[in-house]
Formats: sequence, C-alpha cells, structure tokens
Amino acid sequence: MNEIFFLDNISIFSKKKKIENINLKICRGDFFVIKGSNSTGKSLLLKLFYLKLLPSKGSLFLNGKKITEESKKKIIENRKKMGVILQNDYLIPFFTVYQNIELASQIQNLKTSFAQRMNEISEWLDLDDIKNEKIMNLSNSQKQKVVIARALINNPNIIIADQPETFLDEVSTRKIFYLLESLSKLGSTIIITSSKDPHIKSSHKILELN
Amino acid sequence: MIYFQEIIKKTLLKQEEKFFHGISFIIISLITIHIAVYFNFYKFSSNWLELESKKTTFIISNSIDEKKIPLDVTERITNYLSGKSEKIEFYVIDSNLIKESLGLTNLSDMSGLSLPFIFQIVTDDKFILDEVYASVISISENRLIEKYSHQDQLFEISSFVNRIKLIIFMMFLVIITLFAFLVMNIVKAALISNYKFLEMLQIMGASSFDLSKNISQSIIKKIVPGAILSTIFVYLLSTLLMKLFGVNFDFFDSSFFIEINVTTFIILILFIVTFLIVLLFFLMSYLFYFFEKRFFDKF
Repeated sequence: MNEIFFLDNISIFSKKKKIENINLKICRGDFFVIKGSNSTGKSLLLKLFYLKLLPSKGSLFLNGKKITEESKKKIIENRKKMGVILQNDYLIPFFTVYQNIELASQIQNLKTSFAQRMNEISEWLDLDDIKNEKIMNLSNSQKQKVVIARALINNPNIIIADQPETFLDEVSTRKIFYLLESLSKLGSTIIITSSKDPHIKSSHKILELN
Repeated sequence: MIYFQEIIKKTLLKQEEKFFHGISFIIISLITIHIAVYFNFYKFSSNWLELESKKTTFIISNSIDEKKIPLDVTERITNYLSGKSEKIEFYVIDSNLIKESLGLTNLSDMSGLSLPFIFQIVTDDKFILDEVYASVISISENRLIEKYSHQDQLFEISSFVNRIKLIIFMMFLVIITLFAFLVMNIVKAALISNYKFLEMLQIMGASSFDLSKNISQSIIKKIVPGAILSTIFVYLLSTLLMKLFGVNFDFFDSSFFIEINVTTFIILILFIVTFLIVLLFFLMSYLFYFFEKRFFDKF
C-alpha cells in the first residue's frame, strides 16, 4: 500500500489544546476516522492533514516527503489535490451553487471537463434542483451539501472532512458516508472527524483523542 | 465562466467602493497638484534664473556738472551695442523708468536730480563683457562706470527658490506616504473582516502571489476612475492658474503657454501611470507578506 501520510512522533501545542506524541501512518485508500469528545483537538489535528498547520514537534511526511515551512510550493500543489470540508465553511452568499463550485475548480485547475464532473456530483448529492440558486437562499443542510460538492469537484486524492454530517439529516448523512466509502474503495484517502458512531465501521482506521 | 478577480472585486471592498473613488480623487488631486505646481514653478524659476543670471547691468555716472549723460555719448554707446547685436542682447533703461522705480516721477527735469545712463546686456561670455566694458569706458570719455553681474546677486534668490521647491517636494512625499498608508490600512481591515473567505481560498490551494496579485489589481481598478478624474481636474486647474497669473511673465516667448500646457499634461499622465504602477507593486508586496504570514496557522 502506498503511504500517504506519516506522522512521526508529532506534538501540537496551541494556546488551549495540546496533542502529544502521535505516530501514525495513513495509506492510499484508507478511511481514517478521528474520534473524540468536544475540545480534544480533532479539528486541530485535521489542520495538520490539510497542511494549514505544521507540527510543534516531530515530522510530518506527505507522499514520503517531509513537509517543512520551506516547502510552500509543494504544499500549494498538494492543497490543490485535496478536498477539504470544514464546519461552517465559507461559501460566497451572492453567488449560485454552480458558481461557488466553479470557483474551486478554477483555483485547483480542474483537468477534466467541469460540466461533466458537476453533473456527476449534482446527481450524487441531489443538487440538480438548486444548481442555479444563490447560496443565501439555501438551508443549512443544502449549504453543507454544496461544501461537500465543492470539495469533491477536483476528484481529489485526499478528502479531509471535519464532521461532514453537520446540518445533514439521517438519510443524507448515510448517503454521504456511503459516497465517501465508495471513493475510498476507488483509491481516495479519506480522513474525517465524526461524532456519529453508527456510521463508523470496523474496516475504518480509528484514532481516538482524549 | 466566473473569474477569480471578479469574485474578489465583489467580495472584498464592496462597500468601500464609493469611498475609494472619492478618496482617490481627492488625494490624487492633491498629489498631482504638487506635481503640476512643482513642475511649473521649476520651469518658471529655472527659466527666470537662467535669463537673469546672463544679465549684466552697466551704470554710467554723470560728470559733476552734468544732469544727464550727453546725447552724443549715449548714441555712440547705443550704436556700439547695436553693432554687437549678433552676439549680445541689450536693453537701455529708460530714464522715466529709473525715476519711477525711485519714486521720483513728480520731479521735473529742472530739478537738481542727475540721472545716470543705465543699460543691461544679456550674455554669459566673459570675454565679450570685458570687451564691452573697456569700449564703453573709452566711448563714455572716462566717466565712472559700474558693472554689476546679476549672477552674483541671484545667489540669495536661487537658494530661496530651492527652498520652495524642497517644501513642495516634501509635501508631495508626505501626502503620497499618507495615501499609501491609508490604502494599506483600508485593505488590511477589509482582509481581516473577510479572512474566512480568503483562508478558504488558501486551503483550496490559491498561492499568496495569486491572491496578492488579484486583490491588488482589483484595488487599483477601484482607484483608476478617481485618478483619471483628478488628473483632468488638476490639468484644467493648472491651465486656469497659468492663464490668470502666467500672462505677466513677458520674458517668455508666445509659444510658452502652449508648450507648458502640453508638457504639464504629458507629465501628469506619466506621473499617474507611474504612481499607479508603483502603488500596484507596493500593494502586491504588502498583500504577499500578509498572506505569507498567514500561510500556516501559528500559535
């Protein structure tokens, strides 16, 4: 299996939270779940995976290469290949669903046809009816689906999601988890934090933070 | 198709757009007016100083029993100077003008006032000056002749003129610096209030360079209308001022007004283009630093 992330004795010290001595390996196609109660530093650890944070101690390796403050060019390239779903993620309210997703494809230089990929994602996430709606007219659950669609538009190798089930009903949550699992089986690496145990399966790799 | 810059334009500084137009018009007018004044004053003062420094005044004093230098002597001097008209320009100062400048216009010719014969020549050739001096002594039949080079007397004036130029230049620098800081702070406030959006773009993979380039271009586009209007306004204002005050400068030739207007216009255009390019690079550098500083979350 190809190693994607390798965390070598990593510690992160923020003003309020502390994560110490983490050693783990995430490989291609892994479905990795970070569990833990509130304020245990799940989102903080996730920042490390989407390269917004560097460890205070230890080393972070991505695709076998050490990530340092000097490797910004490499970090930008890797960020473009990632799909990131965050809690309360920012969507441009006066743009349509279509335009918000198109923005991500422009920044990440989508290689395939945007229209074709957009159709696929709209179908998966039931966005067809609201494609031309402005974000400000959508409900929270619809916005969350747009955030997910935006993260998936570039067909990313790594999908990082901070509680993707936020604002979603039970049916939609199940659908999203099924979609993420399918992508994992197709070779994408999924790293998520989740507070909903029923959706976590034995096949998933789990890290529990205390 | 939507464009990255379009999004930034609509997201950032949307409410500040009118403020940007207004403030850029007022402040760029102030800056360009300094350019116009500096250039016109520079042009005027350097032309004036150049012309004046070439002048030498000759004062031929009367003999004790004379009220005026005899006509035949003044005619001979005038004829001598006319003979040299290819090399020098000369002006004979009219006796009425001397009286006027001394405040003695009401004094009749019958009074005891004796008036010297004064003329000025325009040349910077010292050899010709010495030649004229020697010749005039002999033509004037050894009367007392005083020679004053204006260049020596202009030292004080030129240092005063330089001080005025320095003040204009310093004011220009102060306003330009304040404007740069004002723009920088407005932009910083807008960036901080929209940071969630910009952070999202960074996480998606937008580089600091792309962000700073697009945002700077967007800001410059907001400044351009005010800058163009202010250039036109200052050009019209400087033309009006020259029309009102410039007419008395009769030592310039007739084409001077057109020449100075055209050059003022070209200089203002060149300045505004340079100013906007420099501002673009300044903003780009500042924004690049802003985004690089926030490339990683730091605690």
